[in-house]
Amino acid sequence: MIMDKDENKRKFVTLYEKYRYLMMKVAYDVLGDNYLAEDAVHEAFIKIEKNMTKIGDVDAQKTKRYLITITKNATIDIYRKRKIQMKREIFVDELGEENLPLSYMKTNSDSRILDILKNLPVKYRDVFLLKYSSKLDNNEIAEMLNISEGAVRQRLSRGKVMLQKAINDLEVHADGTCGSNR
Amino acid sequence: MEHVEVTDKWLYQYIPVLDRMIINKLENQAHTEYEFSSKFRYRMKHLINTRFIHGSA
Repeated sequence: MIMDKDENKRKFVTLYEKYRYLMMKVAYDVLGDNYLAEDAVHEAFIKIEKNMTKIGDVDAQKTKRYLITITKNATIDIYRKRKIQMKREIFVDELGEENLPLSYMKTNSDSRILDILKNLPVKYRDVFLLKYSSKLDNNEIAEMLNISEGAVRQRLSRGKVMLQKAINDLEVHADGTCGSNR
Repeated sequence: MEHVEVTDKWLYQYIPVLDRMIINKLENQAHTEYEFSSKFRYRMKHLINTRFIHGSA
């Protein structure tokens, strides 16, 4: 995609004006400090500026997911620097502890399935969101999450097994419930 | 309940719905009245005014 500098600048400013509060929320929820969260948002925008060719429609869900992911990465970097003794991989769950409102789903079974997807461990859910919503290739996901392509494939595979098991359990429970009503 | 097979086709149908719900929730909870610090605003202004003239964009 070829864009001139003015077009890129306009798009970048639009991203900044529209999404800085969203990005701030993602960072603040983890870091719990306004100044550290601002550092994370700034670092995220530096990364975004270097990858403007990857951004299409400013309002697209894919763009929002990209910005959230970049912000989570910047947040994790700052968190690590503050807690340098933590060597293990860190995951940021943007959902926090609260439940999503599911009331507008078409059916109860749709809502229950969405609950299962939502409750997938964040390590797997992040990969699923980038693969099946943003429609990124495995190598793009690996680059974005700073993991290997093998790890992406493994998380997709294991995540599917976990989902299938949870859905099978739901089906058994639902059928049992139906049976008890007869 | 109808049996569900977790396939790529099924995931391409459901995961975008989940993604939209997560993003909507985050957008609704973002504090749009938050006042960014002058240091942050200066750094962002500097980023915008320098990178897109001399930078990689």
